[in-house]
Amino acid sequence: MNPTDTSAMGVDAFVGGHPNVAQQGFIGSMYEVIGVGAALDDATYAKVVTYATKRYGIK
Amino acid sequence: MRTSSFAQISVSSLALLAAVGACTGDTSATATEPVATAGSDAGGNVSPSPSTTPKADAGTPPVSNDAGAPPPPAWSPKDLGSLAVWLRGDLGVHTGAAGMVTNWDDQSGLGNDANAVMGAGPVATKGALSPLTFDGAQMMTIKDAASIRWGSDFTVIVVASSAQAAKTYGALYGKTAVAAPYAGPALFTDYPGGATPFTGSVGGQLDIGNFVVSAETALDDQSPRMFAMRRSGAMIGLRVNGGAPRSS
Repeated sequence: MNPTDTSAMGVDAFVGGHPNVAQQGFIGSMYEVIGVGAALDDATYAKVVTYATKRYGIK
Repeated sequence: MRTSSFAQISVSSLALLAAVGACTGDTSATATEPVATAGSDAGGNVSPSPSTTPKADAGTPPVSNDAGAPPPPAWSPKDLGSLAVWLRGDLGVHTGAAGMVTNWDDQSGLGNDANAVMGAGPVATKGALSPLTFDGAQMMTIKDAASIRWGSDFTVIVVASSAQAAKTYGALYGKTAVAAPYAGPALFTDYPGGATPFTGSVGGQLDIGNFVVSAETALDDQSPRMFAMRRSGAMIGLRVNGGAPRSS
C-alpha cells in the first residue's frame, strides 16, 4: 500500500455528492457528519456509537 | 484478505469512477432561514437539569445539597479531540426556497460549514431527528481548510439512512483530488466496484486502489445507521454502527 497524503490537496470537501461524477449523488437522509483529524481508538468510537444509538436508534 | 479488527492488513485494488467531469461547484450560497442554531443543545440531546437547590426559608440556615447538583452534561462529539467537522441535522441548518438547504453550519467551532452547490441543496426535514434529505442530484461542499486536511490519521463518521438505488452509488463525504485515482478520503454508499458495485454496502477509500468495503449488505433499506471510516497510518478500516470493523 502506498497511502496517499491528503494533507496538502487544497480541494473542497463534499457532502452528499461528488463534484466530478454526477452519478455519485447520495439518495437518502443524512443526520450527522463527524470528521476528526485523528484515528479514533475503540473506546472513543464506542462513545460515538452510544451517542448515535441514543439519538437515532441505530442498531 | 480482510480481518475483523482494526488491526489491519493488505490492500485490494479495483478500478472505479469511470466518468469524470469538470468541477463547477459554487460554494457561495446565501443563508436565509436557520432551522435551528448552534446555541440549542449543541452539546448533545440531553440538557442538564436545572439546579434543584432548595429555597431556604427566612431564618433557615443554608443546607448543603450535593444531591441537587446538576448531572454532568451528556457526552457528545464536541468532546472528541481533533474534532474538525460536526454537522447535525437539527442545528445550524439554513434553508431557502422549498425548504432546500443553503448552508449547514459546522458545530465544531472551526467554521467548516457546508454550503449547497449552485443552490441545489438537500431538503431539510423539520422534526425530532431533522435529517437532510438528498435525492441523488444534490451536493454540498466544505471549503478547503487546514483543519480538514487530515493526512495519515483521521476518522469520518456519517449517520444516514440510505435509499440508494441498486447499481448506483452515493458519496456521503469526501475530500479527493479531481482526477483519477482520486486521492483523498471518501465514504460511499453502494460502494462502486467497476462493473460490479457492492450493492447495499458502504465503502471507504483513500484512492481507487486503496479501499475497504463493509461486510454488511442491504444497508440501503432506509434504516438509520452510523458509517465510519478510519485511517491510521497505512491502514484503513470501516465499521457500521457498533459492528466489527473491517480493514484493508
